[in-house]
Amino acid sequence: MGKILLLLKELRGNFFLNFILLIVVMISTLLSLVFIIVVLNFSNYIDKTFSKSISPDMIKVSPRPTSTPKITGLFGMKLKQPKGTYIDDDILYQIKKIKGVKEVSPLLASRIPMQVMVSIFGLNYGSDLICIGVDYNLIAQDLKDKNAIKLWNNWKEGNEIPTMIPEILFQAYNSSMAEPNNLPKVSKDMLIGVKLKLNVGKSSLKTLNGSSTENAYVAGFTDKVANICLVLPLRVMRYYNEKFNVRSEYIHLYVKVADHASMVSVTKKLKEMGLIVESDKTLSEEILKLKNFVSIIGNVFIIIVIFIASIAIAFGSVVAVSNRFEYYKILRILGSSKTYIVFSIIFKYALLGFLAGILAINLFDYAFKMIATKFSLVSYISITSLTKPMKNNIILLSTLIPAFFSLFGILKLYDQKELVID
Amino acid sequence: MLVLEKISKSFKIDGKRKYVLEDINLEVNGHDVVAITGRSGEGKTTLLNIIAGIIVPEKGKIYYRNRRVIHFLDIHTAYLRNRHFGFVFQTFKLLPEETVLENVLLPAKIKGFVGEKIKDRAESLLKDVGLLEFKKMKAGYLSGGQKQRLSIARALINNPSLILADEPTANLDKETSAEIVSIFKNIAANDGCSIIMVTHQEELISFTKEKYKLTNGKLEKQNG
Repeated sequence: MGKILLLLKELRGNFFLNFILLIVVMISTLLSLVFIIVVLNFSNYIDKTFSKSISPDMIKVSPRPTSTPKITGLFGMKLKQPKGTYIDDDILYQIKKIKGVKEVSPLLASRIPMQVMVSIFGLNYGSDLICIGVDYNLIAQDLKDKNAIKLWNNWKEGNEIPTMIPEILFQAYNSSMAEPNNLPKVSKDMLIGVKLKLNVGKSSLKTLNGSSTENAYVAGFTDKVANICLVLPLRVMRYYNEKFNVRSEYIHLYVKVADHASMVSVTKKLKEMGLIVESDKTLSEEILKLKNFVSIIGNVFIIIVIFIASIAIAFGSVVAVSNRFEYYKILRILGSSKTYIVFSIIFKYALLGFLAGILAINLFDYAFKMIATKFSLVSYISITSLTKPMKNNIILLSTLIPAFFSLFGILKLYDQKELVID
Repeated sequence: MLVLEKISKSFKIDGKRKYVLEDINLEVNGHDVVAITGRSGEGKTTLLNIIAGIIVPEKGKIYYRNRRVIHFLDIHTAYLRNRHFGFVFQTFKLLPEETVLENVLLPAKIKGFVGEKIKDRAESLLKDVGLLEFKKMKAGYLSGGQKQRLSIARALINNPSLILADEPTANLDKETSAEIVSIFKNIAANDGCSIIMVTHQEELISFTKEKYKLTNGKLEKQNG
């Protein structure tokens, strides 16, 4: 009881100086809170305005080309393909599992001979052609016909095959093939619905056992595949690769990521897998850079504020202890232990910081809401108050920092070897 | 009750080490009143600091009630100062902003007890030293003699066995000094305390049983 009364007496000592220190801690906590809330709101604003409205770009992933041809079955041994030089179903599965990957659209090239026959303008035209199978998701914006969509997603053997013509092929035909060969130029409307015959397993150079001719038609045009090829449903391509016992290997993958931060991390991961990654991640990087820059600036300001406040507390504690040196000397001579005197000083500063922290948080809550409402800042401010754990941490810091820096005063107290009878 | 064995203490002055206390031996028994005299700077106050456990001697041992005083254990020496020793200073060492009663109660608060019983004792002590009517007055407003009487009352609050007094009448006029001497005489006769006082005052020296003189770091017993 007596010691508690002495602690209270300690709180009463240097009242004016303590009041100044309380104000210093409160203002520095308040300033730190302002910086914290500005950084949080800016970060949120960036997320809301840029990150969400401008979706991150697709990442185009391709296998790394190998300089040497694949040699398999040498002396009966199968050589393993180098990492990153192929994308098969296992790699596809691994990529889908990367954190931040939202969607993967694979492009599966035919690895069997294929030929397309078309009857147009009374001409029968046939050509060996590369076919690429893609998911519906990739060409969803370009494919409007409901029947074609149904077939694209649920094709079975015997069904007509819907196909898409890449824009690049359409342009290439009109500009580089029609005129030199005295063929008429075509429009997209003329081609939509044109019937095709697909020779699967057969080309002008090679015919596989079990090759067949399938009915197909032009269902639309797409700019999502930039190859001179015919675009087929992925399941069609898979079916025929399997039918002719050819392992499915993907020529590209289009990887959609969840956000800008994922763009950077997923790109890094894909590169680690040895794959070629093409993306326009500049925007994502710039957005992240901007967020980080503002966050760093905010943190630097907070550190400066805390630093200045800490110096003020240290200086204040030295002055306060010097002012009360005679009092501590009397306490010590009359039987107070050094531990008790040190504890009473630390306790005073911790309590001071605790009170300043609570005052600052309440003042901030009140003032911030008032300013936000009065100046119509609500549309720019998404975070108007701090979370409970954040408040707890701020109170903890505002308690611990003054308690720690009061040690300077205590050092001053014990630096003077005069706590003795004189 | 208190035994000092070969206590030595030196200080570095102008780069040279000077012994202010050298092989000091002293024995104080219950009810003894000991006076230590000596010129200024001879180490009298240093000796009091060492006895109080505030300054650590370089050599030697101190025994209090047959137990060695462990100078390095702050809690132990603080305990001794609070529970067993009382202090009276030339400069009073009071809290001027606190009331007379609060000043008397300070050692009791450090001890941890401030019940009614202790308040009654504080008032009784104030009555003994003639300050009861000033109990609510701030100590800073008291005269020199009143302040010293107050510091004596404070020294007695925790029923000490030993009072260490450092020039208790040095700042007082002759008449007031006589009052303080009279109080000390009463304490020696009635309270059963031992008293070690550092003083120059003949009146104080005259009623002590044992007299010592500190010269060149040595403590010599004086006759008579």
